[in-house]
Amino acid sequence: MLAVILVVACVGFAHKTFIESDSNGQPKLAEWRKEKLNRELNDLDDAQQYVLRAKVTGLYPCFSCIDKKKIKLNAGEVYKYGFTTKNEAGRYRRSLESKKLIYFVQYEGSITDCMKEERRKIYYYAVLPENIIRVVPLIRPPGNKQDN
Amino acid sequence: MKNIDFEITYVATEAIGMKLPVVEIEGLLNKSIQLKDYGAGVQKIFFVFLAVPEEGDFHQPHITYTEAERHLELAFRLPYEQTLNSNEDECMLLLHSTFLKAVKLCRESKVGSFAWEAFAISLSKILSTN
Repeated sequence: MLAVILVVACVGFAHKTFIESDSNGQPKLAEWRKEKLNRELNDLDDAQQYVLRAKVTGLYPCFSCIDKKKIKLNAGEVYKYGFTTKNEAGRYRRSLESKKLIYFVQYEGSITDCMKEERRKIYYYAVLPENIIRVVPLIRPPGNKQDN
Repeated sequence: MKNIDFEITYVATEAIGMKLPVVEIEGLLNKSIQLKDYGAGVQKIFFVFLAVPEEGDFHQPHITYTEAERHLELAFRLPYEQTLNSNEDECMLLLHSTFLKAVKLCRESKVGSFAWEAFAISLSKILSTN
């Protein structure tokens, strides 16, 4: 049975063995898989919560507006709150290019803490002065499609 | 309508705030330089200034060249403490010197098929007179 699992395991992952046998012949996770797991677990302890702010005054796509697809933001106003892990950090093209946004770090901690921070900021955006003064205030920032 | 050859933004702590004049430098470069004059190898430069403390490893400097799109992404650090304590004019000088340092590195690495030497000279002239 173990031999069958090993064969399937090898074929399924481009010939790289991910199940090995210990000294008693029992199956164990390959070292490279253990190392990858540990790296990924460490990354979850190392996250960042950020805010994207408008780089210039102008029209920005609005996902939380009720009656329009774009909204005017003044330079420096909040567009979106988010969080990222170390694995995803540094991919600026996806988050910033052609969007006229600036990235500000707001909080660093575990992914759970960053998710909580993000959630709090999304909800409390509604009472920020820049939102309150709108004729129709937004329930969440223009760039956040949902509360979570 | 002229292409947007340069796009410039930054990653910073909230303490740095909105004081980095990236809009001004982006406008100046787009007004003064056309990348096609220096070869077909680079059609767009997307520059990200990193104004965050060095101890964090979230935001790492890098040069990423995408050959298919001839797109160059440059992410370079600003000296954090100095940036934090600088006014907008002083920040502009820091942006200039960091941009020139990045271009020097591209020239040395011969990124893409591009006249980096001539580009560096033009850039230096434009930035020093503005």
